[in-house]
Amino acid sequence: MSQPDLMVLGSLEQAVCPRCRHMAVMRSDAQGESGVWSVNSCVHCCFSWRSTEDVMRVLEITDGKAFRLWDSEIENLPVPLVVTSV
Amino acid sequence: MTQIRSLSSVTDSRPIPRDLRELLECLQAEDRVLGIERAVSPEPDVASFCQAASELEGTSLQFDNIIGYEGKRLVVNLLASWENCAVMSGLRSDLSVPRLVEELCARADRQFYKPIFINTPNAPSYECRETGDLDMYRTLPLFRVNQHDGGFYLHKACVVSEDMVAGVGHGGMKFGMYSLQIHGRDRLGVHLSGTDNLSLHVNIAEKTRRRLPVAVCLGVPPLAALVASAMTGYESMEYNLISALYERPFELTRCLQSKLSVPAYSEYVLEGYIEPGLRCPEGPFTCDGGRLSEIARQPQIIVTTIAHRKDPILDNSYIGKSWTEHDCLIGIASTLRLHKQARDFLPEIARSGIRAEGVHLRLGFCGGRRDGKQSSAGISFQEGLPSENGLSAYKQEVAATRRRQAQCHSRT
Repeated sequence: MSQPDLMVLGSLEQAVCPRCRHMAVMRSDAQGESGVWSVNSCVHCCFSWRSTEDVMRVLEITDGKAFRLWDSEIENLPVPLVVTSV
Repeated sequence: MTQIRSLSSVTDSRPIPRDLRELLECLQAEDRVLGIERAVSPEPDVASFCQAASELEGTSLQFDNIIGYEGKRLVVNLLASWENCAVMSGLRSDLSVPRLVEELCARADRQFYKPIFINTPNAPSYECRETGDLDMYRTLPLFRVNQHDGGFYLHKACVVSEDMVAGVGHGGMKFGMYSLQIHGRDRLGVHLSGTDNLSLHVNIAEKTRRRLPVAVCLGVPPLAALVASAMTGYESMEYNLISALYERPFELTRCLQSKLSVPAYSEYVLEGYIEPGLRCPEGPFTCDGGRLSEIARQPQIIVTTIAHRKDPILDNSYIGKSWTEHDCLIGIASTLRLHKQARDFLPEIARSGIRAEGVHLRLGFCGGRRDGKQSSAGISFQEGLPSENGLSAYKQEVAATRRRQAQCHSRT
């Protein structure tokens, strides 16, 4: 993933999950009227981040390269506790 | 059987702190907690403070003013030193590690007390309740523990669950410590290995196609946290062991929405259930030694009620490369577990001796009198800390550095 791509995503962080790029993002604001931060959580890949964070640093693997979790990878994630009979 | 002498009689013991607040008062009285009173941001300030404190071995932190979490308190790494663990046990802070562990093992052998129950409306844990429209991002003072964590983690969460077939009686209720990731306003991802007690309970519930009721306790009394981290085996009754360590009946209360029992002096109790068959991405988070855990599809807890004390204190752990609370907790807990398991199989064991060597604890057993003969040493073996922060990790790092230096030297 190149650096320009990270910069584009940074401007859309409220609407799109920076890890899996799904738009199912829930937002929670800080208590009261403070409005000092909000927390975004992705319903799809369960990644969460605060609006005050540099989220690309969180996902950064090496300089300019970010970690992603695509749909196909989510489906193939290990399941330590296998569902047996549901 | 030889009666094990309690060290309490030979040391300057003090009252055992009943809950997190009493422990905090004891530690503050000895100037063992660093209070951060100025306004700090959840990220990156809190985690940076934690990282700095972990490099200064055993520094505990209390945050009173986190931006956006006004009126909420957070403590981190409260048991990150052997001295603090001694205070937790009601002993002098300068007590040596072997004597501390010996005292706890001796208490564990004398299970004279059973837990007692406080009516739920009178239990401190249920002083305040929230149901409907829950939002843990606002209720709990959360922070990203390490930079590359996939979310906000609770590393000192004690989960109570039941065997849906055996029921809460007859030892069917378990109390263990797990890492939980906040997945949403009312959802928690739980990091399971597949072989722990909660995994077993999830498995049993899924076979019967029923929701598994669970209660997540945060900020539990300190000796309860120790037992929860010990994972003492499926047959043992954790609440009985906690009572033994406290040397008095441990106070419990009943959950509102299930038959589960939780420590009555927990700071927070999150009641909920695990939906059968549901698996959601969990992770990664930074484990001991600084490596990242694997992202995996794990069960999810749906929280339906949040109960807490007035002015609650969230107790969390910092896990990283340097010395952390886990090193102390796991060190004591694993030795305690080993002692208990050995006693269960070999009741003639009279005494466990512990020698601290670096961060490793060496555990040996002296046999008691059997068939009129004194057995000298039944078993003797070493329990190394399962943590990667152990001495061997340091040795490996030093060895690697030496190799690199040698290579550089040979090149020049």
